[in-house]
Amino acid sequence: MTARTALVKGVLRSNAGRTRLMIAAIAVGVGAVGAILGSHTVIERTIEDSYASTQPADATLTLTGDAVAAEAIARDVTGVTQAEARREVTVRMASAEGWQPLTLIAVADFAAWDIGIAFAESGNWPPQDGEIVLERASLQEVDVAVGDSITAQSPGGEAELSVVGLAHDPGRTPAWMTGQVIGLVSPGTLADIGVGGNLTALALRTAPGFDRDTNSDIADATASALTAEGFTVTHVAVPEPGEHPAAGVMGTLLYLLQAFGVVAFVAAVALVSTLVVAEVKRSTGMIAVMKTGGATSGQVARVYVTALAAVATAGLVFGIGGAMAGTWALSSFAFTLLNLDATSMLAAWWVFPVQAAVALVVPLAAVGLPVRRLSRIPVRESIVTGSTAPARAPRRTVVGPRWGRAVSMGGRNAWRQPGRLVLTGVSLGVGAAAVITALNTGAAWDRIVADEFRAQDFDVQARLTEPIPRESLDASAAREGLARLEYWNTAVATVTGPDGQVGDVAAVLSPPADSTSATFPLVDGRQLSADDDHAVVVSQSLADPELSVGDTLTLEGDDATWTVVGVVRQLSGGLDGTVWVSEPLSSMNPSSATVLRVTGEGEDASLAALERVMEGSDASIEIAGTATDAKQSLDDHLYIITGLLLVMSIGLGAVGLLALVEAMSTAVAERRGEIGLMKSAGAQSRAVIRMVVIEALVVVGLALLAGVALATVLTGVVESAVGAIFTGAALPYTWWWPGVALTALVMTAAAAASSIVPAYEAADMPIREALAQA
Amino acid sequence: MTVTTTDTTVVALDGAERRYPTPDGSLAGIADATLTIEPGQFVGVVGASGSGKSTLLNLVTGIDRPTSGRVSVAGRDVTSLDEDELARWRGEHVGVVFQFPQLIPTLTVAENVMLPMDFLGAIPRQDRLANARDLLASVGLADQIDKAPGALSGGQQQRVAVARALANRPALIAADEPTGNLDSHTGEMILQLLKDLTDTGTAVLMVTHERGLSALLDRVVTIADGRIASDA
Repeated sequence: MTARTALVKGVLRSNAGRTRLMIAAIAVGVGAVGAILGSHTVIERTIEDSYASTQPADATLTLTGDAVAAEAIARDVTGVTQAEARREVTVRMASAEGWQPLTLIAVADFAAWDIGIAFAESGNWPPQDGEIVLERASLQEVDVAVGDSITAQSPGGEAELSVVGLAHDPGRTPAWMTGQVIGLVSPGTLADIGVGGNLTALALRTAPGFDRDTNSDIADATASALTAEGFTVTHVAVPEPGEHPAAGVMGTLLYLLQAFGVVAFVAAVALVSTLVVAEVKRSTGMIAVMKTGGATSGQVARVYVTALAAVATAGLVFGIGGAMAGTWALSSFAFTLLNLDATSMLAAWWVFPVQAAVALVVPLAAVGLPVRRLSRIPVRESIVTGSTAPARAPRRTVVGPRWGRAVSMGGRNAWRQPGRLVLTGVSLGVGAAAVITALNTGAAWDRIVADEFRAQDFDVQARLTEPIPRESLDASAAREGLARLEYWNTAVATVTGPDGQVGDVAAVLSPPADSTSATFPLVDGRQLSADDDHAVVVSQSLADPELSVGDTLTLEGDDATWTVVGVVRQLSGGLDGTVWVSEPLSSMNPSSATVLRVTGEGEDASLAALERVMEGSDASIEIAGTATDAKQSLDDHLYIITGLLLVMSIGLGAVGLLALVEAMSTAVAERRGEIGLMKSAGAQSRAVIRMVVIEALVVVGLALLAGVALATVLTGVVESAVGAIFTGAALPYTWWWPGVALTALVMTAAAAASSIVPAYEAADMPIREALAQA
Repeated sequence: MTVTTTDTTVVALDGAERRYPTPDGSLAGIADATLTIEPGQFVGVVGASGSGKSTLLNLVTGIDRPTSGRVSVAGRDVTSLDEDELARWRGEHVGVVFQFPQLIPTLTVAENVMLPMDFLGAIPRQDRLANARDLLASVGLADQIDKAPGALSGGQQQRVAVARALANRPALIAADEPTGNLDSHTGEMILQLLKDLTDTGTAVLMVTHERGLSALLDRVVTIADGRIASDA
């Protein structure tokens, strides 16, 4: 073994505990950065691969007539490479939770299914007549298992369907976002349910590489060809090629991961730098010994750089292991959220160099200056300096500090190493900012959900299987004790604003002029009033950024021009948005309604009363839900949001806490002599403990201030992103002080906990040993 | 030897022994030490390096505990005290001066002197600064009270250390080579300072390498190979 190798080993073994702590800290830093960036790459790749694997339609035409007969015509259109008939229809199903919407997808032959496909996952495949294969994410929405039966009902009939298997459709918006149960059935089953066995949609695939405009031209050409052959095309949908329907959600999720990845990188750099600089400074005495033995500055520096490289490599190895586990955990969480399966859990190649940079380059860069400086200190100065901590000169004498001398000393000690204070503060502050941001975002969501449901006064909303005449149920509703019954008309339409199409399938709601349940929180403009003429209020997801108050728009199926008079915030409308109109569209029958909103003596009573009222009607309830159910559904989103954010925040918090533990442990090690002196001057153990804990609390207090400052910015970024994911518009900026207080409480407890070990070490330190090392 | 004490005896060691474990078995740092020191005595402890001088001092100040035997200071059996009781007892009865001043750099000179007063809490808060000022005046540093320790010379720092050792008016000052790091002139000044203390009844036990201090010292205890070889 060479002398240098022995010295390197000596550096590493001189305090094995600290070496292990450095390895752990580097591993945590590497792990946090690797997990966040790794999961970003895994999720991004999986979204692309999964969606492509479904061979999604480049355009879908809705027809009147049998789309199977239209396949051959479409295939002859230039640019169309494949055409396939399909049907997607929503009926309702009975379940333990009541009636729920059931979207059924049918193709002529599942064995030859070629466009927008789903994958058999378990049970029987394909579904035969009288059978249904459920999309697996639907099980989150309904308590059904393979082997059970469900009742599917439409205005034309109902049928008992056996659930024979599960399939996975990675190209579809996850069920928890839409609240819909999705099932695959044969055309014969559709006929049994009473919606007819015809396939009325034509899915097209075009040549690879075509953009949306080209696909749109091809879809229009196909529509013309079909029209020429006697078909009527009622709707043409052309999605962005290669873009998953939930791309907005997924993209923002990835954006959040990126943002937290950057924050984690900063925290890890700060942590690792803190450790490394402290370790080198602590070694002044050993440097003196080396130089006394004839070592040059370069040789001294090489010993430390080699020792550090060994520590960093060990940290990197453990960190990569942690990062892979973290990548798996975060990606799995996202895949559960997005209803996707990973094609591979291996992060992109470039994540590994970034991890290596955190583990190796950052520490070496951080250590460069102190090593250079210390390795050039003259021998005599090294010996005299020893391992004591530097200190700034006190400004004035304080007599009998109110909280005791030890507390006063703890407060002053916190400032002795400004560089370390900054780095520890950054590590800890970043963690605090992340936690505060997560809690603020949760509070923002909670607040807007509460606002939305406070503004709406109803117990139950029911969508009917077919229109009913307005006021036809008033008498029976009154008999059943319903205080209020509102008749609404609804439609689904594309929305075209001044700059083109802004909404593909926005819900158009036509509430009664005197509605008390249509008032969502205003963001801009005003609510509809009884004397409005062709006025609309739009949800923020539609308005942002294409529409604003005063703009005009047109709605599919209506020739009129409508003026936007207000913008409201609405969570329950989903990403597609909602338009409230002052009068029914020309396509709506103004004397009938398809949605009822009732208010009575509580939600359960109102729901039961409405069921009884509907018994005397020609129509039936397709889906009914209470306001509480709708609120609960939104609250479920809250748990997902805060869950994801808190998982990432806690990881960052752990990085910060490690920095604090390291800083306190270093501080105690540097001041062994002072502690010995204090004890020799009569300081009892509790005074020493108090001094160390107070120092930690001062550091935490400063970090909290930094965290609060950073959180003011981060909250805006994250609330905007989360709002865009789930509502299509930024959440209103919300600052939740109880969350700050909670964070402060946790940090204080963590500071006390993290400093307690070094504090007790200091208190238990024998004076003789402490003074010997001073 | 049997120890004989009076009500005013400041230090009484009775067969005190301190052994340290080594890979080759336990080694005696000091063995069978029997010694008394009365108020106002200036006692020097001399001996070769590694003879056990500092171990003796550590036992007297409660910095170390005897493996066997008894150590009593200011009428209190030190061996029966736990760490916190020991700290409080030390703050009340013993002032320690080290070879290096060991001043705390984040505290001013006056705060360093007040440190034992703050820990013990026996002197009213409002009187502590005046006491510190008096003590610093007695060591010739009345004009330095608000300075940082780093602004003082080595000799001045050691005088602050002496003032700090006197903060709670202890019965015993234990000094471990207090002049070992000072020039001869400053060293003489410190020794005279310690000598002057004995005139007020304070006992001083000082470990030293220096010879020729018999004029100042009342007794010289010589340690050789961990045992008291002479006490004269």
